[in-house]
Amino acid sequence: MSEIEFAKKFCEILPFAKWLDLDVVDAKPSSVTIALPYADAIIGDEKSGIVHGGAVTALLDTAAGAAVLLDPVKPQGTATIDLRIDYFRPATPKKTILATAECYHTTKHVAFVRARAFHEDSANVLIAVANGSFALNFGKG
Amino acid sequence: MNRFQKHIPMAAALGVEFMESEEGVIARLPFRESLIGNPLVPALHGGAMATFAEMAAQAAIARELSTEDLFFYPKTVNFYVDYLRPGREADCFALAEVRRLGRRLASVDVELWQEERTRLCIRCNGHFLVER
Repeated sequence: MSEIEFAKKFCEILPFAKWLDLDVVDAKPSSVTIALPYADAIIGDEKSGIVHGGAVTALLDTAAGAAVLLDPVKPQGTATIDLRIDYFRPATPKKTILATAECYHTTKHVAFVRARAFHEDSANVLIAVANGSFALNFGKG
Repeated sequence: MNRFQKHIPMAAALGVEFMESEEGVIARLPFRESLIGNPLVPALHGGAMATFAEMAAQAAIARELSTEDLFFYPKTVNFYVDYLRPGREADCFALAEVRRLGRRLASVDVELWQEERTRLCIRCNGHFLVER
């Protein structure tokens, strides 16, 4: 299975990723880009129509988890240990948000991931960044 | 307090309820299949629990700053989530306590649990912009 097929399947079997309508745009070893389409159900501030920070968090967390599973150490599973999100600017209403996550270091039991959220037409203008650590599970035996 | 649902559409979409308490705001996230993140365990999606916690934090600030006619929406500056144990197929509860409410910024702690108040699933702290 290619990285992109694997990442797409990962998003398809997660009910909350499905609820958010997440779609994998790109995937390679240790790295993935996932899209979050704009929807009324994820609006935070009804006056401005800006997407809720939590939806961006869920996107970044999902992308980070997928990046861990795509790491060449090939864990069978992973669980978030902790995640910190910094919000730089509100997302533009109606626009799809992309998140790229990169698993940049692993130890025996822990993977370290950074991720960033942006709009398709302006990859340098960051909406939010995330840093997290993830537990690596290699199954029993 | 459930007027907060009206002002935060994603809270309404997830069915989040907000209640006032002496310490701060207590919120409830009713369990539904679509909140699951790991179908094998099964466990709730970490992002769903964090979203819910962030909403509880916003509601705790909004309670202090909103008036009858004006809802104050706090913008998140940062949010830290410590995942202590997986969320099971059950309702989640969150207690959000405003630790500091300054002129520009607020700091809020959130604890999230399910059946047992002392068995926390996540612990969070967030900073929010509150400049009026």
